[in-house]
Amino acid sequence: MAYTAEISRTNPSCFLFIIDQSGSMSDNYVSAGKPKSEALADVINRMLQQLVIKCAKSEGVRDYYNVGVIGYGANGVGAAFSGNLSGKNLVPISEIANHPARIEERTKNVSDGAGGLVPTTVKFPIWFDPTSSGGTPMKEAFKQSNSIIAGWLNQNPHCFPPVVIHITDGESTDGDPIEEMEKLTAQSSSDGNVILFNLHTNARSTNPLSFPGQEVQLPDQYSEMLFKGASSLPNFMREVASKEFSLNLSDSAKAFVMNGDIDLIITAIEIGTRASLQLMR
Amino acid sequence: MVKCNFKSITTPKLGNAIEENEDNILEPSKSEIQFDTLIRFAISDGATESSFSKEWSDFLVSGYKDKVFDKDSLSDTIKKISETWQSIVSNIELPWYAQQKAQTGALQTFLGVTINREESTYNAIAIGDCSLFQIRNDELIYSFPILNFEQFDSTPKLISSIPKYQKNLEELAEYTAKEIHPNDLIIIATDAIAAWIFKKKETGDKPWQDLSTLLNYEDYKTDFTNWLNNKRREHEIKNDDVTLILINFE
Repeated sequence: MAYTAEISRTNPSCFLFIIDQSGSMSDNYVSAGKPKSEALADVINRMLQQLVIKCAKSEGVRDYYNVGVIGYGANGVGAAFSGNLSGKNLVPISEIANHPARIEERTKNVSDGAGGLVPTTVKFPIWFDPTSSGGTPMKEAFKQSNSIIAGWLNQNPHCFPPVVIHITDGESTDGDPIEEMEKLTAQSSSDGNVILFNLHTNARSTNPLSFPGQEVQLPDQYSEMLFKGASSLPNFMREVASKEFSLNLSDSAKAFVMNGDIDLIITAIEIGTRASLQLMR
Repeated sequence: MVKCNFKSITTPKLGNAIEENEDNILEPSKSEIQFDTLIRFAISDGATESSFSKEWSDFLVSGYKDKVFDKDSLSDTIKKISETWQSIVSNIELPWYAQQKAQTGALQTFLGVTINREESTYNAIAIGDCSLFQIRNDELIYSFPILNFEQFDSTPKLISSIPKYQKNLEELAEYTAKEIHPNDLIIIATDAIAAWIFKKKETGDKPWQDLSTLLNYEDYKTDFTNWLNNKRREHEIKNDDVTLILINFE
């Protein structure tokens, strides 16, 4: 049965984020009041922080995962970590834990244990900084991602399959990436195929679509391409969507979001990353 | 007074080091089992995702030896034990992630059994899916708190080392009290091996026979671990820390 491999230090899994850093990502999310690039950087950094904490034990951080962030925009395609991890593609989670580019202090409302919330200063590590300019070389981003994932699977042939989460707000400017997407989702470990999320985000979130099935009517060729390229959501992810987010999705639901606001993007990332944490040993 | 003897083993997940075993065990000393009227056993099993679980489970099972775990006192008892855990953890210099992890608390399931040898009875408390089995005349006559294989899932009831994250401890805790007959066998087991016992029993087997045989071998710790690792490789038993106590009554 697919997607049941134990995730351990001897059989780790990986997450790869592919982030659109083109000029249009500087537009403000209406709901969040900040540029899409900044809001998404916060989401990625928080997700990395949570993953580090999940893998932390009293003696240190256990390498259950390798994680990479690939950006594409004005500077072409490349690893998008800042600081000491700059230039690295897939990084063991313990290395991520020990090498944030910096640790900021932010104010967060924390439970006071009596039903109330109190503003508290919390440490917020930063690994990934926002940037947004230039075109959208999506095809090249997927080409490089294919190479990174092929290398990972070669080293980890029996791993819980990699989950690749692609976040974009625009159309590819370097050609149709569908073949590269299909190549990516055809890659597999002995436990199943790579799972690709195509998450399209929009500043105004007009007519959002979340995890539609085959019956959906899409507005244009571009959204059809993202829909076609995305994996079907495996059963265990649909269960997380149902249990944790009360989303009752059809059997043909795709790992695809169209015109999502930042909250919908967060939900999709949670569905893509949280499910496999149950297999950590 | 009824006489009893016991065998116990606790072993980490296959692939993990001995010091990474987050189960813990309380068992009576040689003199206690020989002379004391009240004999206490306890086991505790750490949730994979929490840190400083070993310390928390250690405090929980050792707390069962001299603290009161009845319904009226449980919250206060756990609060006191958690203060010890928090003072230990807060005095360790930790990197940012270990600090943030520790702030979320350690989580354990727990089962404690007190045997009254004078009255030939026992009482038990359970929070979560550590299980007790009572076998008489080679038949399972009682299990606590889990009743069948289907009741095991990935979200057992847990005791948190931080009281503000603890949900309704009084409601989560389950209690029982039963009689002991001559030649009874009581098995106390953490979830992975307990689930296997239920699964085998539900297909008509008597898995306590295998366990009794294994734990009677001279080098039973090695033999049991080898047997367990084979079952884990065959996916018959979940790869998890395992703790098992067999108490035989005369």
